[in-house]
Amino acid sequence: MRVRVALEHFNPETELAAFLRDQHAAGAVASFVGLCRSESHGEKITALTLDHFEGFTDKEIVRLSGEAAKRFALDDLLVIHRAGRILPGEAIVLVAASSAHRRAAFDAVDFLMDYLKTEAPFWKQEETQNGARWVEPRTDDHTDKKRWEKE
Amino acid sequence: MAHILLFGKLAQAAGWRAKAWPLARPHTVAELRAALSADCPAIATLSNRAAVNRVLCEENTPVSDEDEVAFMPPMSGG
Repeated sequence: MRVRVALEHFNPETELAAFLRDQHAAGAVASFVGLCRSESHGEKITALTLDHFEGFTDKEIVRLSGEAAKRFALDDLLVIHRAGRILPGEAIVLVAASSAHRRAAFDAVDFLMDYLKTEAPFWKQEETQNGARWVEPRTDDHTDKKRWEKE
Repeated sequence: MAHILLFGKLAQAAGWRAKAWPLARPHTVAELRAALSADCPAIATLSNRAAVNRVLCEENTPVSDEDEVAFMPPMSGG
């Protein structure tokens, strides 16, 4: 399991390729890449800045990743999450999970994204041409996370 | 001195991110919130979670003069 908070731009393609090269026994790898949007609420986004808490944010992502590893039969897990100023089109997060069969890999990525959305210590601020605004977690994000609590 | 940290819009509202705060006697997190809310009213809002020494905590968690206490608005990664 590898978890990293990246303060600078990272390339999800090369990171995923490296992760794939390390999977010698897995039968399935699922991945998700979250990107900085260029538009929000009909406004052009010039950048997204993620505030984080060094020494706590990474620890919490390790904790959430551990939950995913406990819950699903995974071979390996990779989480890279940006902090700092992100430009439209750049990656915010990469999650990749490997397992013997596809279902555990799909579910682990889905689960982890729902938990990162609501419990990872980041605070997002969108910069637009009309100024900056803080982005609150959406109700949908909490509803998505609740799916995992019922099971 | 307790070391107080604020993040996101809480830091923006207060106008500071880190501050040393003297605690003559041990406090609970709830008491510290009340004391700090004179400086930044939003700290009193319970949706702003607290962590003592980088562990999420409850309102009755004790805080002493050597602790680091962070107040954090609702979190949202991804």
